[in-house]
Amino acid sequence: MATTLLTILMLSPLIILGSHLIFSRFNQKSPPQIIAIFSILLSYLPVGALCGYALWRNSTIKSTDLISGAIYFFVVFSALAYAYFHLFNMGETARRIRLLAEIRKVGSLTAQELSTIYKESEIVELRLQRLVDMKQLTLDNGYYTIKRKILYYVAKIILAWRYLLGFDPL
Amino acid sequence: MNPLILLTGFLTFLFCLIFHIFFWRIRRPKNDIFALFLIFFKFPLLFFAGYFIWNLLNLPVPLVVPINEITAIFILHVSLSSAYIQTYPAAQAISPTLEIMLIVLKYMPQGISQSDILQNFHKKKLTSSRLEDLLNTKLIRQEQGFFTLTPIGKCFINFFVLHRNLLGLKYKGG
Repeated sequence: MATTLLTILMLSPLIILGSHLIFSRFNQKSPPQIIAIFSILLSYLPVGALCGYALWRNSTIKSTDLISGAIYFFVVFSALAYAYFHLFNMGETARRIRLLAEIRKVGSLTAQELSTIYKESEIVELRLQRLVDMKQLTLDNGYYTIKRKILYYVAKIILAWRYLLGFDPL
Repeated sequence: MNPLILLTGFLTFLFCLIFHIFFWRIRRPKNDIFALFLIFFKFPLLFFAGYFIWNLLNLPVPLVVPINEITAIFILHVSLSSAYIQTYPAAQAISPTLEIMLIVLKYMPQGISQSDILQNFHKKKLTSSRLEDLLNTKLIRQEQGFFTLTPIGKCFINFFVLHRNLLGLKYKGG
């Protein structure tokens, strides 16, 4: 039973990728992060069903083992799904990935050339647009206001974690 | 599934996390991502492999968890560690997205214009600090003022290009 469950969980990132692949190719209008999140949430169904079947097949299993198996599936799959989302989001938004991509395109670049291709104003503008698309900010008469505070609370948690790790304050 | 697997997996991850915090507060390594891989993957792998071999040799040691459940514990630990390592860059290089949210909230309820937001980022070295990270993590090298990809850097960016091609998206970042 455990071997089947573990095998399904180890292969689950491929199920997420497959789901994401389908929705990404058929829906280019929604924000990419929304498509990724939707694909991941949908993947809980087939992976959960397979894991549930693997647990249920074992007729000798105790109820405590069944519950711990269900918790195990949820924690492991959620952690892998979270890691997948961030991996995708890096390709979508990370400055480092953009810099690597620009250097890859040309072969070699100076710092000056990079700052011409990838302006700091562009970094902020892209993010503002993304935040409006994700309905975290509203743009009204040229002024940005908070629409939803999810990312704000995430920012506070990240700041607290930075402090714990001994990083310099912002 | 033995409930002890959950407990042991979480404790293993927690132990690595505490070690990571302690180590970072004393002296943060230059190549922090490599150090994270050592702390969260390599050292636990060596520990679990050693535990497995110890049992194979029938050496006397009180087994807390049956040996066939070591794999399940390791997978739980790896999944939690992967999630943490993916989150770490947001703390290490505070995300401009998150910083924008903090700035905008300060100007509620009247809001803030784009130019005022840009002013807050003036002199923040949004790209030069990331170039430094890429040099420290050996994804790029600098020779005579030119930045080029290292072999690891090429593999790294090619992975993202391939992933995005599969999804039907142009590669970007940024």
